[in-house]
Amino acid sequence: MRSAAESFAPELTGARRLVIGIGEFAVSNRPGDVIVTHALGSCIAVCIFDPRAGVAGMLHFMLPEASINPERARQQPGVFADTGIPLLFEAAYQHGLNKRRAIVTLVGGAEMTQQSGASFGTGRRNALAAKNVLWRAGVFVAGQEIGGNDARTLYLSVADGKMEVHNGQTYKEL
Amino acid sequence: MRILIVDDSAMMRAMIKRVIKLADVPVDAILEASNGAEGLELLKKHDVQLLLTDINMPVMTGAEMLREISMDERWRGLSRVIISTDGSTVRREEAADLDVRCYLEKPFSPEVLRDVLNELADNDLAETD
Amino acid sequence: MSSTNSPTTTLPKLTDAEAASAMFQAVRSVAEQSFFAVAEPGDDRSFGVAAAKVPRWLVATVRFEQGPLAGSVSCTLPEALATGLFDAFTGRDPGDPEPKPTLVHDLVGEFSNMVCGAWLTRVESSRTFTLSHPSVEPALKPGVAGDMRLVAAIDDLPVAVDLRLQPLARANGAPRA
Repeated sequence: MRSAAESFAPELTGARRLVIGIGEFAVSNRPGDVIVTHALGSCIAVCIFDPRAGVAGMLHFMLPEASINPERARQQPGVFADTGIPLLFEAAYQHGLNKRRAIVTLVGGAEMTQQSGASFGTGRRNALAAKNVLWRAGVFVAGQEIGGNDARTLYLSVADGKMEVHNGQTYKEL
Repeated sequence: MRILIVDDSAMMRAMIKRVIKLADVPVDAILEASNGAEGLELLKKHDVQLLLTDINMPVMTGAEMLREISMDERWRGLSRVIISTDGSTVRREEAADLDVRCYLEKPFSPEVLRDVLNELADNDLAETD
Repeated sequence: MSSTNSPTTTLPKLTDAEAASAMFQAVRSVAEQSFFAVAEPGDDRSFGVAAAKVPRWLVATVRFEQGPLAGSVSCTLPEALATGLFDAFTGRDPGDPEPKPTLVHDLVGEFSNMVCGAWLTRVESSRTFTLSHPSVEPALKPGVAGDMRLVAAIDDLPVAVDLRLQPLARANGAPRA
């Protein structure tokens, strides 16, 4: 089985690997680019792709609503679904993405249990918050890889919008 | 395509209408009715291709309306979809007897309805090819 | 999660605990799929504490008949939650004008309609049922609990779902014992 690193091998193509962390997003229209994010636990990665414009983007957000911490939202709007997702789309529009053509995929939202065995349910809340924001914006969700208990690493190919998800044991193409 | 939405909740009709407008479905007009009797009156006046109807409604239920439709030749080509909280096997079997093409159970996400609309539109296009 | 007022509440094939669990699953599926809202199980104590902070409520009641079973399901939720659910369901833009109360009432009625239907389908999937058009009333506080009360939190706000059953003999039209 090919590894995710072999599937998207920037060393071979000379393309860029754009790595984003919590509260960050990246948008690209360079066909060889790969957008990557690691440690997707209860966080959600919102991936968008416009096949005609050749634009892809990804946001890695951690919490559902900016009202949870308005000060942090001012400094890092990408941390929250309701402030981060609009920013992702705004950046994508500037690269030529058309909202009606956008293929949106959600990845992440795992329930990470604490040492006590309890879960805050953040993964579920984040997934619902993302869907809420997208529906309000008039955008359908095309697919999702949500839930479970494992953190994920996600690779998004700008060339064709294909995604590969790695949870430490298996790879899955979306 | 002309679509008729029949549901006693104005907000449910509004939500369905929003999905239709956002989906890539060729629509000429969207008509609304709040019960089966109003739905039948609109069907008599307008050439409708797709009917989306609830079941439990006052005045005339969706089931009663669908029975009337199934007995009338002029609506033989009308595509019928039920959108209802009633997910019982009895109701689903009844729907199959009334030439209902799709049974969508509430609650549903916008994407599920969008997929139903796209599938119906694709099938209708295939039939006309 | 719930309290049952009547120890003699009888639901065909289900224990009270099963009926309560089915009701919570119905509430959760409706909240999540159609309203993108988080539903969490509650308990009487935390419900009481949260409910005391709520100034205005809406109570949406749907009557049902399913074979020999008849009664009503009432969803009591804070007005603030009702407007939040309205925005989520319709995709309302915050910049749009505030919705009229009648539309919010319609929405809450539809919420209760979906909860009732989802519950009945879970309780007895082989039987069809009829539902009345919902009735919605404002209230200053949650009313008396029904034969079974489920308390939960939707988007961290308290919600009560009350099931009231008609005596089976009466539902069948037989003289009351």
